[in-house]
Amino acid sequence: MKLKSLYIPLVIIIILFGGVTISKGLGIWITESTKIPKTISSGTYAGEYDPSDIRGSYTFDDIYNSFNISPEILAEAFNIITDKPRDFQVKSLEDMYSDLEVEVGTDSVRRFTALYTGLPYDSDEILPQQAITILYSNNKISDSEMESLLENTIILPTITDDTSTNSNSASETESVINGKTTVKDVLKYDISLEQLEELIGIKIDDQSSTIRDLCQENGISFSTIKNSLNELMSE
Amino acid sequence: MINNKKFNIRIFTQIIFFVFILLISINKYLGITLLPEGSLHSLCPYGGIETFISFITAGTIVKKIHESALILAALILMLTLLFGPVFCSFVCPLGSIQEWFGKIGKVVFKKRYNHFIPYKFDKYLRFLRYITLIWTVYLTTQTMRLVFLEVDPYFALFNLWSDEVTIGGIIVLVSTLLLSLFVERPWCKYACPYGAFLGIFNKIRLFKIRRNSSSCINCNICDNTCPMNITVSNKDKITDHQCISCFECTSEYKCPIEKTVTFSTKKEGVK
Repeated sequence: MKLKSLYIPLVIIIILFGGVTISKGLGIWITESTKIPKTISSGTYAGEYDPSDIRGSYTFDDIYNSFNISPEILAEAFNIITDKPRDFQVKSLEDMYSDLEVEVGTDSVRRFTALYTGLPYDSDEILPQQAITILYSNNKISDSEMESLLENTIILPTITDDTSTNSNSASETESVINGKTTVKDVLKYDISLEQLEELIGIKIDDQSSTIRDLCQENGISFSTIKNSLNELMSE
Repeated sequence: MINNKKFNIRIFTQIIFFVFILLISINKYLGITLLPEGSLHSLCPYGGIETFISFITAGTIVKKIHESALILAALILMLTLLFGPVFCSFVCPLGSIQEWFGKIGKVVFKKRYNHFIPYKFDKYLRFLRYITLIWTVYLTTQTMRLVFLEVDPYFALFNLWSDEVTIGGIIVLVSTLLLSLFVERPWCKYACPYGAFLGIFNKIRLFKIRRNSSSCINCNICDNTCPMNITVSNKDKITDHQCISCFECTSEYKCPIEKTVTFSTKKEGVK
């Protein structure tokens, strides 16, 4: 059987467009993400939605539908001021916080979701201090877990969903208190030595000491001081 | 009556599909409701190949790829099993634009065009595209990301105006178009992973390019006209992995003797 070239476009159109039409009829022609993450296939959590499959195209509402975390909590955790937290797309975080030294984006939302729901997700992604506070205040993490997370965190600037920031830019308000932060470092953030001494409740002689060491030497909770200091710095 | 030698249905089809894909890629600005919805990723059949392993083994689809890409890949595979890689010769817009740039090269270099690379090197270079195929499928399956997107000239071609375009993609696209001035379809010959995949089925496809040696006058026009530099004149049927079923060598187009080079299921007179 011979075939002329004239028939090839006809066959192409019939097979391609016919196939697409049939698959549309069968409901299998899907050109957009279903916004439902895959489920964990094995182990204790088999059948649960997998936080690692959260994608940048998901909105906070999509996460709510699968993981039952309210969009308002997610917005608060990532310091986003918006009238419509349900419509906020996860991938917008990366653009909004692109000025920060550390990346806050889809991976951060995955880790937050995993910690909030208790589902497994292997990651050492940095979480913003606001997110850690929410996890702790909702009894999703223990004291020790909070301290561990606060070892390496960041305070997010306040962001509105149209990507405009408030009076403080990201770089201006970015401040990190961790185990290596010294008294001298803290004084750079418009916090006086007297304020610091009052906060910790001790007299500070050596400005090169780390805040953590001072707390440990005097039996004070480092994480409590750290939170208070971060609040002071963000003011 | 339309003479097929003058009215080239293949070029006409290429233009239609090129415009169709272009319209889809800019439809978010145009808002034409009749055009298919979704991103270009959802309509890329190679995306279906890239995600196939993860889809079969884990039931998941690589980010940015959707079920529609798998369906398109299956439909094009069906076409290929029947007619060979007609997707490459009639549909693929990247193949088309290379051909159109090549027309400039043909005017400038005349008979030297498409014969710059010595055969002793060229025959090995043709297998580079299988490295691209294995590399992209392996990395995509491992990372669950479209790694090929970073250098994909097809995606770059239809996203030059968008913020999704990558520098790597633009560099490969520009290089491909420049090389097209010297070599016919350089991307298809040496780098295209999808062409490599489809080319495998040239061995078993139903319709093949067949040469009737009894009526052949050995003028070698078929050899010189083949865009993929396949030697047609010493074979009874073409099973070369590079054949794209473009019909250029057939009696319908360039072969001067009627019914000598045909596109058929079996050789005439042979049962």
